[in-house]
Amino acid sequence: MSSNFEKLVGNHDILSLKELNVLPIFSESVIKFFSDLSGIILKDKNSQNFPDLMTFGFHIRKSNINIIRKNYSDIEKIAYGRGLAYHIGPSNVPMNFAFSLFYSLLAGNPTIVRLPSSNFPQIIHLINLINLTLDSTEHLSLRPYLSLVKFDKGTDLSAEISKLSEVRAVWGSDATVHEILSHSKRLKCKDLVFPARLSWSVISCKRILDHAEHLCDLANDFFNDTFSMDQNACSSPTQVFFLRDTHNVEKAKSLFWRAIKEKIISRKYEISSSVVMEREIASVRAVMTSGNTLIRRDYLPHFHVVVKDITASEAMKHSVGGGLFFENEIDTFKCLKGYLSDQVQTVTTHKQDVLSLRIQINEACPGQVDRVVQFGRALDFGPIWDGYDLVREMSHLKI
Amino acid sequence: MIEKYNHVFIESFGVTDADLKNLEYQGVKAWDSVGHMAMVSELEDTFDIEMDIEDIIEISSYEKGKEILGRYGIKL
Repeated sequence: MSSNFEKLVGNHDILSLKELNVLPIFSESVIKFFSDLSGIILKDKNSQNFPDLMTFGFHIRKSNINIIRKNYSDIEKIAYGRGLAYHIGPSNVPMNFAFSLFYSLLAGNPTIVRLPSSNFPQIIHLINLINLTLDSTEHLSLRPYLSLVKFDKGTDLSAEISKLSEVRAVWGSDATVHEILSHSKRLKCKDLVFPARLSWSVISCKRILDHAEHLCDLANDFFNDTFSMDQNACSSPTQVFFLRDTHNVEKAKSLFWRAIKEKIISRKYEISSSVVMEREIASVRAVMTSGNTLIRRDYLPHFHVVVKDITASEAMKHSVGGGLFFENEIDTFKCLKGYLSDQVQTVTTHKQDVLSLRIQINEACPGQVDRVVQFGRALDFGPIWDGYDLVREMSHLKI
Repeated sequence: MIEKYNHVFIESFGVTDADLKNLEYQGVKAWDSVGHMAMVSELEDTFDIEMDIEDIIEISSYEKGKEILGRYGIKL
């Protein structure tokens, strides 16, 4: 095996997962496992230090699995896993690998996950809880079906696993996706790729001014969408569009950003000096490399707002997370067309505007945005992600 | 039945019987978004119900929770 290879869940030879029979989708053994794991996570006091881990625990509880399951009643009796599934978790969002594992097993696949190299404390804790759950004799039959490992990039092991896999799910930078896809694969292997993306917020200035009493809640939702993941998740908004639907746009913008700063302080958000430095360099670079009129608003040390009329593709080049936002103004939702690209994953907006915005974006640019959701829901993981129906994509129909 | 309901809140948020009547979301430190998830999971386990997401969000207080459980046939 490769150097620095480490098995964190599963004691077996990982390549032996190839020999296992696939499971039907939503098999009882998988549901029981995640249901038990959910109970252990949610009752554990240490888990409560990690909101993203608690969110995962909440997502995998039995009642939510049953809600998800209802969407697959048409194929439930004929759908099975495709075979060995190889998942590569992203390096910057600790819990993504866990959601990927969850949907892979629900789809019936023996699953190998390559974990991020960083030692995120919530990952270490989750691994302990997974092992604790698997120790129960009730989960004896499921134990061989999951293997969580770490190993260095650039070793041959990814190529070896790729050759045996029927599913590859790759989360990460464009370079990581290209690297994994460059390995030869089985002819029927299904690739699901989740490269870097960008997300937006669309904010009505009129709603801010007319409903100042809701500004604190809006700031809280925006905080959850962005700062709770250090703005690293693809679905965390980076570009913020203010709708000019009132005369006093500047006042609305000022109220909004001030509310965000107050929320950051009240939620005691902390950010490392290295992230601040990276963001500082990126924001200066963004300001310097444009012919547009620019302003940089500093809400130090928490975040920067670069007022800049740029497209999503340009914003992607400068996006580093950690509280760097690009601010634009638009006259109507339709104006968003000029800024769109297929790199936009999620658009958040006011609950009342979700439907209208979704329709207008789909009319203007069909297929270019994966989801439009209300503020506060940007990070809500679901069975459809990046346009993939995860269970259907990772399963196989047998008739 | 009400004892079981009270027990979920007392255990989840470390409060006493006397606190329950006026207990609201974010009214005590433990009832934040994280504590809310743990509490809802306990309610589901205790009463063997599966709650819709809109109902989960709507439980904004101890009293409101009673009303919402009523939608699942739980009379408190």
